[in-house]
Formats: sequence, structure tokens, C-alpha cells
Amino acid sequence: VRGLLRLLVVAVSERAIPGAPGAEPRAGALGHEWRIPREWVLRLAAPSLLVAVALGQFWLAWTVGLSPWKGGGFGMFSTVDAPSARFLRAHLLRASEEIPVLIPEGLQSLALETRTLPRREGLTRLAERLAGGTWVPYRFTTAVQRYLDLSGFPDLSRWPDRDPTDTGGWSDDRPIVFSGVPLLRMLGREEALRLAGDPEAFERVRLELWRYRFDAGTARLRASVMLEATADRPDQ
Amino acid sequence: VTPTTASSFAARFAVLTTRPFARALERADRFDLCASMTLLLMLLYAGNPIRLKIAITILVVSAFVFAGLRRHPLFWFVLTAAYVVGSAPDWLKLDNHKYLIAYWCLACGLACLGEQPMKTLAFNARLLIALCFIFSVVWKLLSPDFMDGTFFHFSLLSDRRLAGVARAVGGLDADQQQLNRAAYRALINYNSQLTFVQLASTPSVKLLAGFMTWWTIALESLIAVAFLLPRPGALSAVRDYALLLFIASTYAIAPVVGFGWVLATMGFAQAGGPLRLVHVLYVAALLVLQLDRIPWQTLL
Repeated sequence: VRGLLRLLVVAVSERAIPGAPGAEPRAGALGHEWRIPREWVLRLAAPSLLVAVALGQFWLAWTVGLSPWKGGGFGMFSTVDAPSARFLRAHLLRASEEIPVLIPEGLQSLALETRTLPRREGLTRLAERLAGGTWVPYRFTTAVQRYLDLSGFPDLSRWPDRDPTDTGGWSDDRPIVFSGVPLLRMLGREEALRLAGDPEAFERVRLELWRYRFDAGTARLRASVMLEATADRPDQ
Repeated sequence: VTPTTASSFAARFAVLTTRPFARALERADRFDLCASMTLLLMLLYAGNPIRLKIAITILVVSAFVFAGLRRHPLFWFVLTAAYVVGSAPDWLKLDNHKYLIAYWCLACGLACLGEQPMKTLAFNARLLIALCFIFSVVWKLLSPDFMDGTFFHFSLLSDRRLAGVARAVGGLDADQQQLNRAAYRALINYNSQLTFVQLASTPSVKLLAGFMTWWTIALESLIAVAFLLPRPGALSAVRDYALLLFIASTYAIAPVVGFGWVLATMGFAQAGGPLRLVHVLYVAALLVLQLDRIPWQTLL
């Protein structure tokens, strides 16, 4: 790195175009004679950087499964294996029960990084964040109801424009249930502190990273597990 | 009006309307034009994070107000540093053209240090385009699911941007496309237990995918080799048109306008010599690229 920096500094500060004044060999810090063709550095520095980053991306893609679409290697549109072809399935585990959950908005960025560069540590870290979260059922709550809850003005509930057909309006905040399994959401830190009732109980989280591939012969999209991680709930 | 006189009239009209623009392009300083195109690229397509937006906007506006900055190497190095520092936290999410923009910005600064800035910039532009396409082709050649047509086959069945082509040429109907989207969503849904889904396809889609595969490989390889060779040469004569064809055909379908913009800017920079048709076409490409933002697929 020091040698490269020295090369750049000399290239920027000296005139050493072959044949031009000042192009004589110079004694370098490494103890031998070397001459910097300045114009070549100016011409090749940016392309060399491109090559270095692209080779690094190649290495990461072949060794640790970085998606060819990302990382500066120009592998986009070369394979089905884009970050979008990798997806997460997360489950809260409670005795023999497995409750599938959505990755919360606040962890989507970490989830995308894990999908793009799938490392066990990254997946485990994400699983731990999910296990450390407070989970409650999703409920239908209208904007008006939320306003009433926060404002503490019960008189407003007698407004004449209340719509009786409004699903889930007013006190009707039923949990959302799909196929007998409640849809859960992870509360943010502030929300978790204000939580009045009990959160959903669970013992651990299992997080799976899946990847699909397309079988052109049968036109089937087949998914398989790439990586898996589990994390215990911190207070268990 | 006969076809001959009509076409002659059209040609004369085209010449008359474009001549003032061509003259303006001819009179303008070529390096300054490249710098302005690059600054607009940075302003419009550098990225959305606020840490990036504020710094880039301040620097770009300063360079538009104070023309001297556009030839000052330090300005370009600061701009590059602001861009790299602002983008680095998202390195795993960035599209490849964001990397290319950084190299190009650095090349602008390095060119300002040279004896002949435009010549240095042109060399950088040619090599950056060549390398970008070389790596792109290598990735495609190394990907079995690209070379056997699987990638485009799947894209035609599932990518909304290709839905119009898949319907018009591939013979897929709207119901099949709806089924494919439902199947895709079912597979990746958070509570799914499926391990595979069946997509609807047609033999024509497979044929079209094969054509798209080889068209892409052929065009990208031609661009890579042609830009790698210094002028003059047999291939170098067609390289500008090949790149323009790539910009026109690719970004009409996949509207990554920032990528098209940086390629057109670099194409303009490396097309040396007196003003020619390709210079005008590269500038026109910057403008036409904006039309790609119209969601044509949904209008078809």
C-alpha cells in the first residue's frame, strides 16, 4: 500500500513522461532506481482500480457466494442468482409450534446484505436481532382509532361521521390471522417500551436463507436452503 | 409528394434543425462538455442517501457557477471522495454503474493533471468502457444459466420489464403472466412452505431467450474488443455505433438511466477528432434516455 501511495504521489507531483524534461530515473525509498511514467499513471489509475475491484468481486462471488449482480464486478444480468433470487424464511419456535414471521422494516437492510453476501455470521446476527425483538400480533387499527388512542379524547369517539362498516375501526382491533396462524410483527424499541400487554412467547428463532433456481427444461422454479441459523431468545 | 422528395425534405429539415446544435457542440470546449455531462450525472444519478445528496449537490452547483473548478484536479478528487465515502456503507447494494461513476469521476481529476487533459480523459474513457464490457462478458460466459438461455427464459416469464416482449414475440398471454407472478410470490412469501412452483411458458419464449442470449453476448463482446483496440482499426470504426446500439436497445428495456448516461458520457469523451455524427448521437442519447423512464411496458 505504501509503495502504491508513493507511486501515486510521485506521479501527481513529478513530470516524468519519457523523453520529457525531468524524466530521469529517481532513487526510490525501496532502494533501487525507478522511473514513473506520469502520463501512464494518469491514464491507468482509474482502469486499474476497476480491475482490482472487479477481481475482488470475482473472488468473493466464487468463494463466499456474493451475488454476481453486486460488488462492482459487472456481473449483472448474467445469472438468475440476483439478490432477489435469495429470500429469507424466519420462524419463531414455541415448543412444537413454528410461527412464520416477516422480517421487520428496521432489519430489511441487514437482511438484504445477508442475501447479497451470505455469511453464517451475518445470518446468525440477523437471527439474534429477531430473537431479541418483542413480537405482537398485527391488528387492524384505523388512522382515526390510532389518533384517538394517542390523543386521549374519548369525546371524539362520538363523532357523527363514524363509519360503522369500517373494518377494524374503533375498538375492533382483531389480530390478523392467516390459516389459523397469527400474523406477528416485531415492535420497534420505543414501541416495545410502551407495550401494555404481553408479547408473543417463543423460545428461539430459526432463520433460513433460500435461493431459487430456474429449471428451463421443466419451467419450474426450485428453491433450496443455502444457509440456516438459530438463535435463542435472550431471556430464555 | 413522391417518397424521394419526402425523404429529401425530411433530410433537409433534419439538417436545418440540428445544425445550430451541431455548431454549438463544435464550438464548445470538449473537456468542458464532458465535465458538464459528468456533473449532471452526479447530480441526477449519484444516489439518494442524504449524506451523499448534500455533499454532491454543493460540489456540483459550485462547479457550474465557478467554471474554473471544472478543470481543477482537486475539485474532482474531492467530488470522488465525497461520492465514495457517501456510497461506501451501501457497497453491497450498489448497482455496478455506481462503481463506474466513481472511476469516471476519478479519471476526470487525473486528466486535469495531464499535459493534454482531453487526450488523457479519452484514453480513460475508452479503457473503462472496454473493461466494463470485458468483465460483463466474462461473467456471462462463466454463468451456465446464462449461456444455456435460462436467464433470459426466466426473465421473460417473470420480469415485468420484459412482459411486453414476452407477450408480443413469446406468445405468452396475460393470464399466464398473472399465473407466473402469483407462483413467484407464492414461493418467496414469508409463510410459504413450497420448494418449487410451475411457471407457464411457450416454445417461442425459449427461442426468444436463445436469441437474446446470443445477441447480448455478440454485442457486448464486439464493444469490449472494439474499445480495447486503439484507433484506427477495422473494429474501432464501428465501436461508437455498437455502443450506441447497446444503449438504445438495453436501456429501453431495463431503464437504468444512470448507467446509460455514464456510458454515453464516456463514449462522447473517447470519440476524438473533429465533430462527427457520433458526437451528436452520444449527446442525443443523454436526452433520449430520459424517455426510457416512461413505463412503456405498462402502456403496451
